[in-house]
Formats: sequence, C-alpha cells, structure tokens
Amino acid sequence: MKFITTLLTLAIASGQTPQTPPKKPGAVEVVVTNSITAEPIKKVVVVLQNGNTQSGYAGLTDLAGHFKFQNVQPGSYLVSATRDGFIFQPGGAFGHNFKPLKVDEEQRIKNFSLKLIPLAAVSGRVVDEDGDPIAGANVHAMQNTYAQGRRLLNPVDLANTNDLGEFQLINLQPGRYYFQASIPSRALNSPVRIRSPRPEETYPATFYPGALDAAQATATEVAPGADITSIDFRLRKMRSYRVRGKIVDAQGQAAASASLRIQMRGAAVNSGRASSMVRPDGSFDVRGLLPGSYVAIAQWMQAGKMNVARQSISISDQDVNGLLLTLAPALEISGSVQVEGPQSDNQHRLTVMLEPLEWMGQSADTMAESDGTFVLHNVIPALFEVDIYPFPGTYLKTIRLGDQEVTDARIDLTQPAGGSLKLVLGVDGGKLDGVVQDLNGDPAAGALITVAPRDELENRRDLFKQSMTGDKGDFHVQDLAPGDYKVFAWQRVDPNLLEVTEFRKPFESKAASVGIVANGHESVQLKIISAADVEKEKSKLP
Amino acid sequence: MKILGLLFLVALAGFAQQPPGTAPRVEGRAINSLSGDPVKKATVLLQPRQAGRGTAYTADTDSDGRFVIEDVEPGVYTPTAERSGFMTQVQGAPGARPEPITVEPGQDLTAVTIRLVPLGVIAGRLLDEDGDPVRGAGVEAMVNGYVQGRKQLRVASQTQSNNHGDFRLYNLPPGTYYLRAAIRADRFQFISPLTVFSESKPHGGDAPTYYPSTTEPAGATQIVIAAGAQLKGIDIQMRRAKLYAVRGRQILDQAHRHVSLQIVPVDSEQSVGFSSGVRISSETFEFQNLLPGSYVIMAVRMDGEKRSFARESVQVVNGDVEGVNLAFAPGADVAGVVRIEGALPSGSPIAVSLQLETPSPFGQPNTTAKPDGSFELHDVAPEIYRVNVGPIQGSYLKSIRLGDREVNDERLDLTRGPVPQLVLTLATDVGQIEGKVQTAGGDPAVRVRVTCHSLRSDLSRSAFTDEKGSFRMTNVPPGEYKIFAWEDVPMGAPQDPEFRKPFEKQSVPLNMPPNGHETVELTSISVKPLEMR
Repeated sequence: MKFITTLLTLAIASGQTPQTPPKKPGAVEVVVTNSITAEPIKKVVVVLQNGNTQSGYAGLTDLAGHFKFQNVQPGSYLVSATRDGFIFQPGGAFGHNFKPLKVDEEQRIKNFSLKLIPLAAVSGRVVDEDGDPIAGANVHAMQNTYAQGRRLLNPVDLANTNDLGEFQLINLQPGRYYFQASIPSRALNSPVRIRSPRPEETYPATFYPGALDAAQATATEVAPGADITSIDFRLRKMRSYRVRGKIVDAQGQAAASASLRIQMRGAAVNSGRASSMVRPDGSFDVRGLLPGSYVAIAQWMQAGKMNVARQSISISDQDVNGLLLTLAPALEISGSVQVEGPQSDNQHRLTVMLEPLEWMGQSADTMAESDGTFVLHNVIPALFEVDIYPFPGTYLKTIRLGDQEVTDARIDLTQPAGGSLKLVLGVDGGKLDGVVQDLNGDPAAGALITVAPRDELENRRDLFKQSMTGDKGDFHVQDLAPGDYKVFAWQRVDPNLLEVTEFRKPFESKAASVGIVANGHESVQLKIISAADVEKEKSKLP
Repeated sequence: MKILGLLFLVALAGFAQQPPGTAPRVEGRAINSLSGDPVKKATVLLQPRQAGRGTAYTADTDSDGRFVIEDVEPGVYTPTAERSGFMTQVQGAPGARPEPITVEPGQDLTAVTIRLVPLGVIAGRLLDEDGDPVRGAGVEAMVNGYVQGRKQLRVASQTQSNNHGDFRLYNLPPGTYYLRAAIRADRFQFISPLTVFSESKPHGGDAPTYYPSTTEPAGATQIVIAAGAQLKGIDIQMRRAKLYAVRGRQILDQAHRHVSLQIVPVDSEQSVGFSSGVRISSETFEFQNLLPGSYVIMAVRMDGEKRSFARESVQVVNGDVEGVNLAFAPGADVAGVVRIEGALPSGSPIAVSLQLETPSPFGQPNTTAKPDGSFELHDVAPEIYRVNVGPIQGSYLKSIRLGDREVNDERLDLTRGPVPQLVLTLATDVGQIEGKVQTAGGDPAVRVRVTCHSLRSDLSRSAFTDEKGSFRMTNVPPGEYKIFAWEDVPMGAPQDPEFRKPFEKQSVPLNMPPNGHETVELTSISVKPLEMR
C-alpha cells in the first residue's frame, strides 16, 4: 500500500513544439451520449488532438453530456472520448477510435455528437459437484483470436470468485465470449515428496456451461451494456495424473536450480501449463494433469548459458514415473541473411525470429550484423517457423537449414545437427496494382487489401502482403515473391483472421487470382467484401 | 531384506492393534475451532517437521471432517489443513508452527484433531459523494504490520467493487483492519504525447478514502474482525478532494528516447492512491490527481545502452506544482571483492546485492561473486543502499570497507560520486545459543518466539521454542546481544527497537565469543497487557 504509484514508459516520437498560427479561433460544442440508450453521459474526458502539432484541447462533459471548447485554433483534429465503463469506437471494432473534426476560422460547431458504447458486465457462480461454493476460482473471459494462422482462445479478462463462489467481470467490450472457470493450482510449497490418496482427482478447467474442450465450448454473445448474471459453473472432479522424474545435467548430476514446465501440445487456449518446483536432488512431481499429450521443457541458466531438455509425454490412464530429463546446452543457431544480386549497402540490420509452433510465446530472435550474419542464442530444441521483416525492395526468397531447402518456413530443431540457417532475400519481386469497387460500383476508399500466397507457399506468412486503398479505391503492392496469389479487399476485418486459411476460403470466389513472375507487374480489379459478410463467415468458424 | 523383516516384527511386538506388515495410519478430524463442527473438503497436509526431509502426505476430509492417511513413515510431522474460509489454529507466538504429532513405528494415530479458525468477511458498498455506486474501484483491507523493523500499514486483502459498487473481502484472519478504497489509475491515464491546453480543469475527484469517509489514515475507523465474523453494510463514501497536478520538464531527444517516471509519497502511509495519472511528452510531464503531501519523483532514462537517473522532491500544498526540473545523472559502477575468513560450504555461490529501503523503479542491483570473490555492478542508480551478502548458512557479513575506510552502518552511499573498491568480509566464526524458556507461572513456554538483538547493529536472530520450552539458535555472530522470549508478539515487531524498549528489563544479556556455544534461561514476555493501554 505504501507504494501505489504511477509508472509509465513511453517511446517519444520526435516532438514538435506547438505553433500558434495567427488565425481567429472557432468554438466546438460536443455532446456525448450512450450509443444504446441515447442518454447523455457526464464526466467524459473529450480530447481534440491536432495531429500536425501534437497539441490539443481537453475537457470534461457536464450532466447533460455537453462540453464547449472556446477558442479552438482552426485546423484538423481527431476527437476522442474516454469514460470508465464505455468505449469510443466510431470506426467499429478494429476501426479507429477517434472522430475527425475540421474547425475553420470563427466557425461555431454545435452538437458535435460522440456516441460511446457501454461496456457489459457478466456474473455468475462457481460451485463444486455438491453445489458448495468454490472460492478463489479464476473465471476467464476468452475470445477467439487467430495467431500464426491458428485459432486460439485468448483470455481478455479475469475475475476471481469470492467466498460465496460469486464472480463478476465488468467492463467487457461487446462481442462473442467463451467463459472458462479454473482452480489455480495450489503449489504445495513443500520441497519433500508428497503422497496423496489414489486415485488423485482434480477440478479441470471448464468452459461454460460444462465443456472441457475448447471445441465444445458454447460462445456467449455479449451485447453493449448487457448485464448477464447467469454464467454459472458446476465443476466436477476428474481423475488426474502425476508426472514424476528427475532433471540432470550432461554429467548426470542433479540440476537443482532448473525450472520445469509441462505444457499441453497445441492447446487451443493460451494457457494451460503446469510448472513445478524442482527439488534439490533434481527430482520433480507435477500433479493434476488430465489425459493428453504434453511437452516437458526443463531449463537451467548457468553462467549465462541456457541448458534445456525437452521431451514429449503422453498421459492416458496412469501416472508417468521416472521421466529423466537430461539437460544439454541450448542450441546456437548461426546463419546469414544475404541479399541476392548486386550488394547494396544496407543501413538497417534485420531481425531474425523463430516462432515456436507447438506453444505460444518464447520465440527466439536476434538482430543480424551489418554483414548479414547472425547467431540465435539459447534456442530450445523445438519446431519453429522462421520469420523476418525483409528490407524494402526485397522478399524472403529461400530458406535453407544445412543443405535442406525449407519451402514452408518451418524448421525442426528437435533433431541434432541441423546446420546453419541461410536466408536469401530476393530483389526480383513483382508489383501489383489494383482498383477496388464498393457494393454500388463506386471506388472503395480505405479498404484493406490482402495478397495471400497459394499452393505450396500458402503457409508462408511472411509472404502475406497488406495494403489500404486510397481515395480512388486504388492500391499498390510491391516486393511480391514470384508465385500465385489471391487478392482480397475487405471493408472491415480482424487482421488476425486473414492468416486463417479456413476463414479466407469462402471468400475466394470474390478474390482475384493473380500470378506474379519475377520483376512482373500485374493489375487487378476487385469487389469489396462487406463487413456483414465477414461477420457471417466469422461466426461459422469453430 | 531378512534383517529388515526381523526388526519390523520386533517393533510390532508391543503394538498389537496393528496387523503385521502395514505402516502406521494417521486419522483424525478437522473441526471449526469455535463451533466444534466438522470441516469438510479441507485438504490435510502432514509435513515432516525437519524441513526438506522425508515425505509429506495429503488427504481430503469427508463430510464428517474425517481424514485417513495410510502408510505413514514413522517420524515427527506438523499437521495443517487448508480450506477457504479457515486457517489452521496454532497455539503459540504468531509464526510458530502447529503442534507436531509423532508417528511411532507400528502404532496408528487415530484421534488427530486439527482445529481451524473461521475467517472473517467485510462486505459493503462504495458510494461517491452524490451517493452513486462507484464501480470497478479497488478496495483494500489493511493491517498494521512490521517491515524491516518499522511499523506500517500493509494490505492484507484486496478486491474490486462490482457493477453495483458492492465489494466483499473474505478470508480475513481475526484482527484489526482499516479499509481503503481508491479508483484505479488506468482510468485516468493519457498516453498520447500531447500538449493539452485544458480549458476545464477538473479540480476534484474521488480521492483514496478510508472507511467510513476520510482521506486521512489517522481519521480512519478501525474494524475489528473476530474469528468467523461477517460484517456487512460496511459502506465507504468516497470523498471528493481537491487533487493537484505536478508538472515539469524533461528532455528527450534522439539519443534519449525512453523514460520511465514514477511519483512516490515520502510518507508511506500517505496515499497517492491508485488514482494518479501521468501524461508525458518529449519535453514535459504531468502527474495528475495528487492529494496534498510530500512526494519524490523518480525517473530512469535510457541513454543508449546506459541508464541515467533523476530524483526530485516535490511538495504539493494547495495548488498545482509547476516547473519541476529533472536533472539526470549517470549510473555508478561499483567494483568489489568478497573475502572469507574461515571455510564456507564449498560451491555455495556468493550473491551480492544492494538494497534500497523502499521498492524503486531503479531496481535492486545484484550479482554473484566470481570464484576469486570479485564482483562488479554496473549502471547503479546514485542512491544510498544497504549492502547484503548471501545469506549463506554459517556465515555473516563481518565488515564492509570502502577502500581503506570502514563502513559501520552497512550503508553504501553512491550519491556523492564514484566510490573506491568495496571489500566485504564474510566470517564463519558464528556461535549458537541454546536455552529454556519458562512462563511467568513457571511452566515451559511452548512455541514462543525467541529473538536476540545485537547491541551494535540491527542484526537479529529468531527461533521458536519446542514442546518442552527449549530452543536453539544458530548462526549467531560474535558480539553482545540481548535476548527476549515473546509469547504473542506480532511478526516482525521485535526488530523495531521502539517496540522492544519497554521490554528490555525482561531481556537477558549475552556475550557471544567467536565459535561460542552459550546457554541461557529466559522468562517469556506477554505483549498483550501493554497493547491494551
């Protein structure tokens, strides 16, 4: 309590001092209302931000939801509105969160309307099989997200149950949610072996209303301002298993300071890992695991060097005993990024990333030297996807691991002796121009363009290109790797969805097909895909 | 194998109640210490008393509060039970472990009773000055406690008000509480680097408020929670207070692109609340929603790979504070060596850390000494630190030298520029104290806390007495001490010299020679009568 403070880190853009041109000011009166009830909202912080000068005006609305800015310098502003319990999204979900405003000299603007969307509350109870309340349970509100082309339930908010088993999530943005109740694993803080009755039982994490598997979970549509009070869970104990074993170093000595985590493979939820204390003799005992396939990863940092052990585990109907995890130095992956053809002096250094495919997080990355060579340190032996942001004017043309060419950018580092990683950037990329029409046949400005590779390059996420149409519905994309593409134009879409092949499939008939050859230049005409169609297909996704 | 079986038979001979070939069983009940009712669904844990040795056992209680654990290795165990809404009752000084049970070979223990103290609940509603519910605000139950020998309020439990302003704090051990509510900061934060010419300055806001409705900790009403008490209707009306801003300048440019800023109240009991917001741009910063009081602004700036630091005191009296200048100074490098008198257990890495008395954005620099004892710390904020080494069992920090100067208070002052080499001497000539403690009535004082305090520094050691009133305290450096035995002392309180003062007459002096082995007899002190005053 003694230390409740404010901490903020900000990267500062090159700031400019505000300039006050000698113009006669105007005035702006804003009115803030609830987008659902149309009632005025008081105590809203309204900010008029002048994008050019990084200066602006702030005010607080009164009981009638009004605020009047006197003496506003003429210019273009972005208007934002902030109030606890509401969001301001005039551009819709994934759209912008400001409203443009232009003020002329001596102009009096009245009733500049700002509509805030009320946030929702969701509450319920968590009880056990007898109906007794479970205190201290976690209830996560999760939403579908799409990362690396996979569906993933991502926790966006968390509440804890009280002693009556009650929880309440407040400030939920409208949308489609999955609710999951789980009991945080209570690490028995004991360095000694624990014996407990057989069979051991655990309350598994449970989706509302009762599914254990994310695929069977029922989604709940949460409307703006909703107060949903019926998200009740009844948890049931299930037979659970233990994984016991020992972590040793290369010499067979106990690795007492190692850390261990046991992670469900390909989990559809961005959580679900069990970590365990490792005892002084290197032994561990992880409890409460349900049947399934897991990866155990032990890590030990010694003198700045990471040592790792990785092993797959399958739990069916019994405990896993005697799992021996032998640490070996983590991988050092050396390699190079070279630009094809005449060498240009690149001022920038590329970042090379390896994204793990079996779980989320813990990617390895490094910055290449100016001669293009790099070393990735402390890499866990696992399956990875190679990712880079190529220099302007280039694209990632070939990936080689040792003497193997990797066409889908996925590399398997679980097997020893992979060799060095050689990345070649091509400079013979193609160009694509296009024009997008809206549903009325008029030029569609502000449409999101996706250029998605097909066939064998379908999984190459680095070859995806995005762009935005200009005022005339026009767009331009360059540095395209030679190959076949589908080109989509979206009115509005969650950008993460675009990498999901199943999501794009139904829209392929509305997309343009284009083949790009080295140094080629193609052009296409496109119809926009409406936001309504996007929503319809999105709701069909699992 | 044969010999083992034979021994087993011999051991069993005296205990006919158990069939041969089975290890002892431990069974018993978990009950509510107030009502005597069974506590179901509690997780019973038998922990071996000797830390890190043997096996621990768990079992859940049934609807009658009963548990059975089969096949227990003979030994001494401390039984506890966990269930939300309860805590294991411990007879003895706070922090003592529960009464142990002894499992003898071949003998079942069938009547182990674990008493669980029911915990309390404080429930109520947060209202603003207009009587409207305040939703999503933080509510904290605070208790007086001791940290590093100083009495201060600390958060025992916290929650958030719901959509209707209702809150419920639960699992509160019996004790005296203060309640505080505050709006969370994130509601107020502006993160756009924007110079705002504000036309309407909201000069008031919901200030961090203590129950029932005051911004001053001194004016807060105590809430006494007895075991199992459920207090409802504990409503807090949040006070609208004049809140002020602190503004100043800081210079960021291409070379200095990142800064973190923090404002901290000087008096730890004074609250900025979670309600402070900050707005920074490349040239200016502004902390908002501050109550009057003394603050320190701490800033860390990245200068390329290096960091530089600024610290500035500000007083908020009855208006906004303008024109605070942050003067950044580079971090210091500290080089030193750890010397060891005597022999340490081989292979134990020696950790060296510099500790600030309060948590800080500057961090707590730490490193591990190389095998030759040398160490280096880089980029350390210019502050005054306490030097820590270890802890390594069987050793203590005997002396600290800066170049040829002895440092007597364990403090390393980096605020006055570069410092010479730091020489830290660890010595191993520690001694031990054994003793017996009696109550004023002459009975063995069971599970009381024994503390010894150096007369020269704030070094102290602590131990508990066993069932016979005996204790053993190891790792005691040579020197002069006073020893106390406390029946009911709050955790951490004996480290406060002010707290000890009234009890000095009841302490026993002791002079520990190098590698000494001293024995003492003590009478236990009851703190309660003093606290009642």
